[in-house]
Amino acid sequence: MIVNVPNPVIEVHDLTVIYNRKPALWDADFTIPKGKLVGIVGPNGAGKSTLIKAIMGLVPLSSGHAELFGKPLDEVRQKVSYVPQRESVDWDFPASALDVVLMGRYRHTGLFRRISKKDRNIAFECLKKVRMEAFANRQIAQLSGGQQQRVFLARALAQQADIYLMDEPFAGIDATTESAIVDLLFEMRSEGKTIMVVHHDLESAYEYFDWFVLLNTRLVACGPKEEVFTQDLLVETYGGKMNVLAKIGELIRENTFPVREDNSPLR
Amino acid sequence: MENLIEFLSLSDPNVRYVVLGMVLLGICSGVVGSFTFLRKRALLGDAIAHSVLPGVCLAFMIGGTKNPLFLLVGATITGWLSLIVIDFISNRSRIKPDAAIGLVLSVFFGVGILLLTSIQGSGNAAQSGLDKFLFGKAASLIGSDVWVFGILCAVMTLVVILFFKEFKLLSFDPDFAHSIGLPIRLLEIVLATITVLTVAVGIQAVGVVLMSAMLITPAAAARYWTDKLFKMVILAAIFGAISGILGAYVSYTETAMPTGPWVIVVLSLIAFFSMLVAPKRGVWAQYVIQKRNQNKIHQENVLKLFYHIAEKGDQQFRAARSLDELLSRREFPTSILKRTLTALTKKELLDKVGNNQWKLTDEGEERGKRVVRLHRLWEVYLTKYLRIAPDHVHDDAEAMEHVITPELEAELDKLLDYPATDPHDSKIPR
Amino acid sequence: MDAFWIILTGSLVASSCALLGCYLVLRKMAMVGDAISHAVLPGIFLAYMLAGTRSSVPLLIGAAVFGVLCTFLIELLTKRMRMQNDAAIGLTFTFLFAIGVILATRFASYAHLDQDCILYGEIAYVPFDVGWTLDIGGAIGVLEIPVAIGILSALLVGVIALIWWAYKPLFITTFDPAYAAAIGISTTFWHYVLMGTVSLTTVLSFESVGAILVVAFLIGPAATAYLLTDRLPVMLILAVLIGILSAILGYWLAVWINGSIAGAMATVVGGLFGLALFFSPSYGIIGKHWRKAELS
Repeated sequence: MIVNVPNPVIEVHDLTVIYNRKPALWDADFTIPKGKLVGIVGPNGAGKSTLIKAIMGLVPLSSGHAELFGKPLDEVRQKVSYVPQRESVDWDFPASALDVVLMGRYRHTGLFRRISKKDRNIAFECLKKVRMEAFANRQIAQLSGGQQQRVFLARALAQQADIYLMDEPFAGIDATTESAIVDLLFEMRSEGKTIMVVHHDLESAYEYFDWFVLLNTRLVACGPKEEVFTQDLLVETYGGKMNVLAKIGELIRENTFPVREDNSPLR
Repeated sequence: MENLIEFLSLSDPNVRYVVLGMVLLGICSGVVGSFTFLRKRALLGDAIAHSVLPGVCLAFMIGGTKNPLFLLVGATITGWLSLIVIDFISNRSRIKPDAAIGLVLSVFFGVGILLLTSIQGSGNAAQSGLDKFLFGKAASLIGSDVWVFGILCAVMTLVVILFFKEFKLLSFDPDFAHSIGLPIRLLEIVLATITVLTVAVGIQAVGVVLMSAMLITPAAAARYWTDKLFKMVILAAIFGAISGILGAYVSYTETAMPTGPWVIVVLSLIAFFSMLVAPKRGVWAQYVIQKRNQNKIHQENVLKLFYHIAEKGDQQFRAARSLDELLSRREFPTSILKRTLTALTKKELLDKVGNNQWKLTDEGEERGKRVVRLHRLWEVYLTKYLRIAPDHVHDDAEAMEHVITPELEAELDKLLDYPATDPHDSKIPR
Repeated sequence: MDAFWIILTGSLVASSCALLGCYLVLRKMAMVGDAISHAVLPGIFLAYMLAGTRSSVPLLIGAAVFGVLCTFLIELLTKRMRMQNDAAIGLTFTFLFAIGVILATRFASYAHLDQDCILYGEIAYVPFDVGWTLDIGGAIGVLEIPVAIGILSALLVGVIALIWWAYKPLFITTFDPAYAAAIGISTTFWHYVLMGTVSLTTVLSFESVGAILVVAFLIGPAATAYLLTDRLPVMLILAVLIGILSAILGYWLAVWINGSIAGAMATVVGGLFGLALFFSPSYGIIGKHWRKAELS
């Protein structure tokens, strides 16, 4: 069940990613319409994070490509914002919450100019939106996990983008933060932003999102929640491993076979 | 040549000591290094080596003698201390292990240099020779040194044999080792102690900086050749020994050539050589595999092409085709196509008929048919199981048709219930 | 006057190293710094052999290429050869260092650079190599400025300029490389900019203070400052101050016990770190203990 839409803002074509010589994502092909809150759902190791990293150009692609607003990423980077997993950085880093949020403004001010008063104001506004203004000057190591996540979100907001890709923003956070983030996501959606979120918890998923990408190495389904978030498709997403796919991955790995004929050989 | 014979005969007692000493040291550090390497603690050897110096100096200052055993005790103590300090810093503060190691090694070494120069400055006549701990003086190894190396080697081999299984678990899966009740702490102490001992002894031969290479490089080189710990340890020991001999030989033939650095250069070259030629993991092996894959793809594509031309056209699967006819149906660099046709003819999958015409043999037809079958089966699989739209499956199948093994083919066939046609309604040939 | 020049040399090296060290420590690449400081040895030798003099700046800059080569080799071994990172570091720098030592022994007479100097430098001789004289009159009279002071000052100015100019890209690629890449900043480029500067610093500092003190200055002051503050700008400044303090105290320690100046400076670096480790108000072990006791 893959629902394709006209004039999508995110378009993924035949995307295959081999990560550490294992297929992490196999031939994913889908489209996402503007202004949707999209949940990427699937079991552990299903390639959820890989999918958004691939869209952001952070992992090498074995085949396929992604387009945002009908253009390659490099032309529209300003309009796309990425929120990495919280664990991916060292929070002992000597920086304040405001310092981190200001990173979201780096592209706007230019890499070698000093940060302006205006940037500072925007960053502060973004901290306010995630209800973290009181912690602006707090060292990031002293924040709770949920607060750190909100700082990351504020940084993404400061970029003033139209597409947001978020890697597990709900992982390991408290209930207050979760509801704060959900409110914020709803608000962003009402402003016409498109948001893709890697999500783990099936129980809350239906409530939070209005579009789903169901992944299990391959794309199981993609479409509006009423059509896609069904018992059958979820069972298919979480149930049974794809035996044949696993085996072919193994064969490719053993023989270092190319995944596409014309592509350079695998690393 | 004369040099070589003289060297190999070991008639010169000096040469004998140097070679024996370096071989023994190479074996020791190869074996011990394998474990530090696998435990991803390779750089701790560097820290220990630098931290030995203050111990040596202190031992000399306290004892006032150059008795090797006495200095060794001092060296072992500060070597051990450095490990404890590194652990302490990285566990009890926000400083990460890499910074802790770098800090400890440079500071311990600085203290050592300070003590050493202070001793030298004090005009103590007995001090000369302490500085061999800095760069090592393999050339000045004497009989008693070789005895020390020999004893160390024997002790270490015994320890490693006794605890081989335990060390193996500790290296690969410390959590599991802990869960089955192995005394992890004790094993770590034993392993650390033999590492410190090896470093403390070896440093006199190769010097502070290069001692860490004696631990790391043989193991890193051996790793490319095998996945088995036992083989790896043996190989590392052999690499260590060989480089000991070669290093000693170079410094024997060339005057003013230091032994230690040459041992390391030889070791490094062995490691680079291993990266290039080791089976499976080596660069050359990888290149050969890729070349082979590439050839396989070309050949199967050509066989498939013969099948396609017949299928779409005259149904004459065994008809002879010319180069132009083949090229008109599929884009192929002409040179590659020619080369592939020749290779297929040699394999008796094609027969060359007349001038520049080829036709399939029995086996060739079978193979061509199989590639087409795999292609279409995979397309069915993709549409049915991966829910990929029929117009998106071709590229994927184009690659996978070369990967699928007969076993996987059977499994696919069964899974898909022996389909008759592919998603584009082309017949799947049987 | 000699004491002044020696302390100034130490302070200049300490400042450049401390600034760069902050980034190495935060990037968890302290050991790469260690590796580079050893790996530049063959480069320095080739530079000396070709130029026949000890301070041909263009050649020394060329020698810094060996430091970058070392970083490149480490990356190559880790990424392409799939060797584990720590082993790749160890293998690479010992190999290059061994070549350096061979060159040093073989051609020592050309380069006037002996083995001891490699490890702990010749900071005590810095004042004898006068590069410029400056008549400032008064009580001091003619000021004989050593060559090393000139070179190391230029280096420090360069390092400060780099950090001032590229503060933001260095900050973001250090803290969150994935995000930096996502907004289109090349992490590889800045990695090599940083490593190139570290190499250059190492090469230019080498002669005065030797490989080991370079490592001590790269890691020690930065690690100490890291225990004292939560702001990067403050950390950079603190690291420089700690480096300079180590140079001053180290000189007096060396005079006091009549030993190597470089060794003594490294010792002080360790001592200051130890103080911060236990007594830092924010991250000291004793401080933490205290706060815990107060809470309970």
